[in-house]
Amino acid sequence: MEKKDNNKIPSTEESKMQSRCDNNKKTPSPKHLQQIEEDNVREEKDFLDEFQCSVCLDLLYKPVVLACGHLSCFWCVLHSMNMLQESQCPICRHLFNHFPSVCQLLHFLLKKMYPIAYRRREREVGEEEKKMGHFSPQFVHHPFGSHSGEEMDFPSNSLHVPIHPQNKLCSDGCFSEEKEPSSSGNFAKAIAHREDNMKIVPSALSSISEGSTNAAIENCNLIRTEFGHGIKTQASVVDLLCAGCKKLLFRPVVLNCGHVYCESCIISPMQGIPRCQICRSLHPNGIPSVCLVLENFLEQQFSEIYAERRQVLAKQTDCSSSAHTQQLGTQSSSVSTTVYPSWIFGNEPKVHIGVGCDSCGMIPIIGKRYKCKDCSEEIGFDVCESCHDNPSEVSGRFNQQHKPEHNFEIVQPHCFGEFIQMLNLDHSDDSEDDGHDFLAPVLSDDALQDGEDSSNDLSDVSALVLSDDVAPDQEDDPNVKLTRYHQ
Amino acid sequence: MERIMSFADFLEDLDSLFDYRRVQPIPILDEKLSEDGIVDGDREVSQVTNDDEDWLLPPPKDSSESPKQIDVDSTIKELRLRKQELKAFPTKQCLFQPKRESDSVQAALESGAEEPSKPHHERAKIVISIQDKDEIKQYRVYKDEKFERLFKRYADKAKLQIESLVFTFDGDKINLTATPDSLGMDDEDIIEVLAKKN
Amino acid sequence: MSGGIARGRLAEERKSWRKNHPHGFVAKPETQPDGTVNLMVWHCTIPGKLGTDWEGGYFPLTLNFSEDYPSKPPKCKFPQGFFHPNVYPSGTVCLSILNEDSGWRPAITVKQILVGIQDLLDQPNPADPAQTEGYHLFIQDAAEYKKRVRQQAKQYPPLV
Repeated sequence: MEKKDNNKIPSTEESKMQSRCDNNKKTPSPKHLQQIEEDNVREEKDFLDEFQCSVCLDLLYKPVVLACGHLSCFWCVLHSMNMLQESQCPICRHLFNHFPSVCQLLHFLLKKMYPIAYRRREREVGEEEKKMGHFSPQFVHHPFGSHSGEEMDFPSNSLHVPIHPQNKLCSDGCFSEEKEPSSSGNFAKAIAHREDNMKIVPSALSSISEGSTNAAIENCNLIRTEFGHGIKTQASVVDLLCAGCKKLLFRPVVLNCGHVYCESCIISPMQGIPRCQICRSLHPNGIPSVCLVLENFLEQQFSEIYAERRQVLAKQTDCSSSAHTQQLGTQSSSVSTTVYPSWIFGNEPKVHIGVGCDSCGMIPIIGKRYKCKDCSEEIGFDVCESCHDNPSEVSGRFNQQHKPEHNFEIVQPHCFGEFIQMLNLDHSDDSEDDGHDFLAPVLSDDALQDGEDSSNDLSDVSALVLSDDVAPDQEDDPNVKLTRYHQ
Repeated sequence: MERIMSFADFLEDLDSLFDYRRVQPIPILDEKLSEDGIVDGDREVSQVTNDDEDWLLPPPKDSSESPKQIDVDSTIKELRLRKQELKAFPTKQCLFQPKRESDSVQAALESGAEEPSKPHHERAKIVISIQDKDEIKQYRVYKDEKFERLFKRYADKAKLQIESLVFTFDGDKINLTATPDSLGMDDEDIIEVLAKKN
Repeated sequence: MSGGIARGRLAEERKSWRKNHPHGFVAKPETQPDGTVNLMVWHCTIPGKLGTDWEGGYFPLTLNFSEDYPSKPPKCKFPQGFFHPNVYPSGTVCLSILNEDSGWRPAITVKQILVGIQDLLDQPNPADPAQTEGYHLFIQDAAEYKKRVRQQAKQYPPLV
């Protein structure tokens, strides 16, 4: 059954795309029809189906690309993650442990191409976030639309977390990205950062021009992304550069940190695990797969340059290495599944249910958990052992104002026995928001009601745990914890 | 089963709908749909005689419809649908009256009652998809036009008796006197055709 | 998100269903007695596939969505006592893609669910029986099974 489904979905997408291409070339009639439809429907139908999130079925907002190459919105991915064990891709059920950072390149691309729909999403999601009290990362606006990766380059966390807890109650203006970071220090950094960008962009452009001889590039830079949908703003090559070679992306892969590279720029058979050249973070879970949505877009949008890139690369990389990367490409894997049962029976390693690493995104944290003592956000700031030992520049996933000088403490996880005890207690009063930890928003009241609903007890357990504050001082003493529950 | 009609079919069917020579270059101003319910006598005749020349103007822009109203909107539509179905019930008998006359007369009455006629404005149109077990075809009709004419046209083309066909929208049988408006239909909504078993 | 995305997503699904769906299928959110629409419960009709013993039947199916949709699949129910090896006596459909722990993915849409269940009607999965009667006949008495299926198809004629 499932196989059938798999066959059906792409084929219909293809046929849609086919007809769209046809629209562009000739035959005004269907295009006209489409326009009529668009006008009559609503503004947000104005985006390509490829950029529809397959979870919320709306325009992708703050897109996150998983190791399997599938993409979905920040909150959609997070909400579909399993807090107890490895999660599955909402599209292909590929297992993964790490919640990737938002792909800023795609974020700014969509924002540029679909300003109206994206702003609407921004507003809607912003309102939801205000209700929850947890915020997705904010990104400083990029005036040049150049490779957004450079933003992460900045050593400060504060750069892309402009919303402070103290001003999160401010009006919608807060969520518009035109607003500068609130503190003057951030502001200065942002300015410096922009200047930085100005240097990068021209060099990137010239490198492309060198790369090829004909004038196609200049034309392509000016191409309007019409696409049968009458999109008003244009995507240009500078929006879609590889963080490594600074040329137009070819077979793009998105790393866990959200940076985008050509497959051939980041994956080499010699090096093994890819390490991001910008933020120096390792890409967990093996080799990432090509993001096909992005690749299709590149191919349609910049067909000439893309074909050229293909030729050049085919010459450079002899068949041997490319075959190799393809082999590797299928190897992306998650943490061994034996970890979880081992923990259930009280053995090592420790599994921190419902707690994610704010640096690499591992959910749940396996091994030692370091909790920041100085971060005041409800959601807390935690890192896993390897991120604690090798601090990278990727920062909190929910706008926490974590600073390098903050202090950490080691926190012990629940043991499985505690869980069972907790399950036996009456939880009806506990679903209130008394201090969520990382990822707590996943909890909904239904998770509690569903408890007896057979099959998925495990994930319900995680939801239950999430509903309560896993305060470090109480953790060491189960009795303290239990009395708290009884109150 | 997405869009199964072939491209050629699609063109054949809609060719006449997009006769650009006849499309006015000036976009229609923003107008609420309800204000468009005017019958221009001459136009009505030409429509009837030129069954296949169903060319169209760009539809009025619904800029008045705010995107955020979707939920409320569909609710209202459902409501309206129910109401209209109830209303339509007693008028069923006019189904057997001579078609053309009752059609235009009634339409004129209806729209005339709502709105004094503004001579050079067209009635709002809508694209309706009709799906049988093999394919989808699209037709353009007036939003306030009874389905009878569309169904007749469909039956004639398919060389079937209209009496042998059942048209449904959302699983409910469509009354010949219903209109796209009365069923709360949107552009490209699908009507399904089933052949009656006998 | 407190409310989750269930409603927004269901509204989108409904919108796209109206413009495109397989022939003979019906899927619409429940209209409550007071006239409001409840997006969390959908009343659907699945036509038996042509050329099978199920042909001619238009089987009513109710989809119950939770606020966790699409993280969790909807519960899909035929009328109580529906005759099929993979349908529980309560009417709940047992199908891998509807099981959160095996085949469900949030990317699966209502359309795919309904088509999947239509496939299941004629291709039961004997490895996963959910009722004794249907299962035993399917395994042991093909002729009687066929008869029962045809009989059931007649019980659910088209509504129009």
